[in-house]
Amino acid sequence: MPLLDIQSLVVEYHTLRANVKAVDRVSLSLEKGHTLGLVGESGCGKSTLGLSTLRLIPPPGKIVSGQITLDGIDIVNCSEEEIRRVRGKKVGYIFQDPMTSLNPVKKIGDHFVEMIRTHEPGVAKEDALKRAEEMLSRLGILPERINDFPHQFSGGMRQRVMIGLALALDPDMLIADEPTTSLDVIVEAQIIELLKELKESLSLTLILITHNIGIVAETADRVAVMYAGRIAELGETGALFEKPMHPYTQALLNSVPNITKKGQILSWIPGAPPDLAEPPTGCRFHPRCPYALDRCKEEEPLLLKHNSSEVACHLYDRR
Amino acid sequence: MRRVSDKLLTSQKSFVHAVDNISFIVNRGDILGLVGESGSGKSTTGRLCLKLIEPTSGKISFDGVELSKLCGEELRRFRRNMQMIFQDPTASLNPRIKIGEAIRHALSFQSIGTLSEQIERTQAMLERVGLKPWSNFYDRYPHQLSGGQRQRVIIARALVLNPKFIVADEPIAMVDVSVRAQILELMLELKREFDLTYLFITHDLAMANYVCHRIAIMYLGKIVETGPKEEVFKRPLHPYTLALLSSIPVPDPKAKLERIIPKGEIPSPINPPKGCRFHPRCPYAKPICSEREPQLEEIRPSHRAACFFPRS
Amino acid sequence: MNNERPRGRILAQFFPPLTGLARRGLAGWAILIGGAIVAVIAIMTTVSPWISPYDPIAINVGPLLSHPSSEFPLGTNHLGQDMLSRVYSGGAIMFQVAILSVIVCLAVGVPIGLFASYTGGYTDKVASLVMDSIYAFPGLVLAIAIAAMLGPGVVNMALSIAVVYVPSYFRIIRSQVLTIKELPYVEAAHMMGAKPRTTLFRYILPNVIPSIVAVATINFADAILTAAGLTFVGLGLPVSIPDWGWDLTYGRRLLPSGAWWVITFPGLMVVLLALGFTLIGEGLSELFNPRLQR
Repeated sequence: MPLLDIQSLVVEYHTLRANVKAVDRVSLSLEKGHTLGLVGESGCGKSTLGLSTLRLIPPPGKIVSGQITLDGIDIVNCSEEEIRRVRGKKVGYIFQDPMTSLNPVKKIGDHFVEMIRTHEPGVAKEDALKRAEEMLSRLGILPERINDFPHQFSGGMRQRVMIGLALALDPDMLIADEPTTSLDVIVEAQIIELLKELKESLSLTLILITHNIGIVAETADRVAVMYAGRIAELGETGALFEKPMHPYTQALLNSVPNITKKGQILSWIPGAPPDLAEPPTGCRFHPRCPYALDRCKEEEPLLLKHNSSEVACHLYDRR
Repeated sequence: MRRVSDKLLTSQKSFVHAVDNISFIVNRGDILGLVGESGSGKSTTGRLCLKLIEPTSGKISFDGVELSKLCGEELRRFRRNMQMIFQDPTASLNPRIKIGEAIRHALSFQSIGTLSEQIERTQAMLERVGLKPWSNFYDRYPHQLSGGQRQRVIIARALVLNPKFIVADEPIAMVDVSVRAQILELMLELKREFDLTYLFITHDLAMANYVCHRIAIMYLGKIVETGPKEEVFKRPLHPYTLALLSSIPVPDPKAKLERIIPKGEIPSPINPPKGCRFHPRCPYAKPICSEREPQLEEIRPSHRAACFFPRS
Repeated sequence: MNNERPRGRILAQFFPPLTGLARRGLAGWAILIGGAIVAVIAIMTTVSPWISPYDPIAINVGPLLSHPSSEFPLGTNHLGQDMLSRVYSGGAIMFQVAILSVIVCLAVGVPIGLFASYTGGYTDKVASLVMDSIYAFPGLVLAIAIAAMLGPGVVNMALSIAVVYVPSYFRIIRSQVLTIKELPYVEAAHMMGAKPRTTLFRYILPNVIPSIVAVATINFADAILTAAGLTFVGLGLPVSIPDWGWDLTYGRRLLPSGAWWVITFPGLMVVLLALGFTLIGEGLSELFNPRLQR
């Protein structure tokens, strides 16, 4: 039984201009203890997908249809009470920007205390602080620093604090939304190593949302590639990198530099991602696809099984 | 030939050693990659080269002309020789000015040509950077274009004055991954066509490897290693370079990563460590590293490093 | 096109830009409604000489302090003046004072704000000091003080209001200029060799104008209220000019005797006019600086 199961999820933003389908009929599942890399460029819907698993989509966005089942709980339809119990306790969320995600007037220790006592009201303040200290030292921060304020921490440290907060209640699953985007290269490597280590020691289930293909290659068991609100390809990491099937995946992998590859020629994808208010007919990628068939302009491809992966592309659809 | 030396940037109460006593040369036709993380001083260096910031001390000479001697009208007119490609394609364009006009302004500010000549040159430049046909783009506003297109406008604006030297400050950092190579390819084409020299500032070593001839690695206001790109990548000398190289994410799940990650983070440039600035984090540090500051020395032909114990 | 409401479609026949506004949601409607209020009152004031049943300053045209009736729909005051005529024409002064004060503010506040904040250094420090000192005074009190010094009259009223308001323009402009000055596109202009004057007027000013417009409309609203206030305390205008402020003064005194109509109708007009301008101002600033991103 997968820990997380998403079926035909549709999330729309109702703006003055138009209805934007940020997530359009996405289905995927995640087994316990596995890591899913959710990859795509800006505007593909990956962040929206992550937020929807905890019903955290800000208005004017809303979940229009579909199902999200997390450890048996119906996320889309459950009560406010229930979803609040899920947030933090069952699922930890690491938000995109550690610079602004921490309250600047609260000490780090108080962040932890608030987090813990909201979900476990009976816990005494001293005990909560003790747990905070343990968590910090596990993440490589001196425990005394629970008395410091966010601005006294550097970027990488703040990100570690965010990870600590997300893990404070021992959740089953962790969702990290662009956890290293605003960090320097070396700190990024430190954080990725930390995540890998935590994955091992805590048997974490992890969703890693990013546009950085490199860190996904390193940490994920399975990868989902999103484009314009839909999943283009979904498969085991090794298979996806070795033999990418969807033309978008292929093009994406060819546009990322790999310093271990000698004499690599980088390519690119002409054009730009579509305006989700008026997406192209048929396959959303067809205007930029080098292999587009007539069928691609009219019929939207379904996500179908092919070998051990899933692809949404007519090139693989023999029906 | 451009030469930069020495620079200390100061704020009111404490000294931020943004760029501390650096010297380097950029030869005509070079693409020099200036690589570093935050606080390394690379952006400051770029702005110094263009005289957007004043050095506290030191000399910057451009094609034999010392920049500090220029001011006022002379400086204004000298600016046509060197231009900048900015990082943020959105913030670098005036949202209220049509992009065609924005490019033409460069010519207008420098009083080059008549109005119709300026418009013609702008149109040609738009097409040259791939925004064809120009009539589709001249009258558009920045928010009507995609990120990649906006970056092309920035490149067009920089090039319309026919400069010799371009400082590109993270030109692709804010462009979508799948479009980056296209912008880089454009920059390389334009270099060949217009005989340009680039100072390519970036934190992305992998991209620097792709595009540059020579690389200079900066750490906390100092240049710690310079050399031809193959040398720096295949046989790095400075421990910081080693750390940087091993930290680059590799889009290949089968790649074996031997990470040499230094502990801790970059200290504040207000109070840099004594001696070698990298010593508190360096896995190979010895006592001398905290006492004396290593200078850039040639370890291999045209491959310099500032380290007492270069890895070779 | 299917989402347009019928009202919008009718307006569209006459004023294409208005449909654009209607489609912009709440902010657009605020501007439309505010604009409509101001337009109606302005038109009413302009045509008042032709539509007023009586001369607004003529006394004893009817019984003193009579209730609203079919002959005098809004009643008469203690001097026997027809309230309806006074309501029609009392806005004229308001508009004149408000427009004049805004013009003075723009002519004085905008250049000082632009120049001081762009130049920086001592110029900026001195200007800020002066402006902050003026700003620290409560508006009406300062206006009263200046009006008392200058004496009655439309121009003097406008001047006293302008003095009170210039710091607001200065502050808004200064904060905008300081922000915009640091933006990459201004640096780019510098890079291209733009003269400082060019940078200021062609790159910075156009991006500051939306805020100026927003302040100007609030300035209008405030000027109207202050003008009423000044007349209320007797510092505004001679009695021979019809003015809502005067009606408010006397209306207040007459209220205890039960003559509610003298203060109510002019008071309502003052509030409505100020509201109209405020709606426009709020709508404009919402449009120019939208809070909702998408």
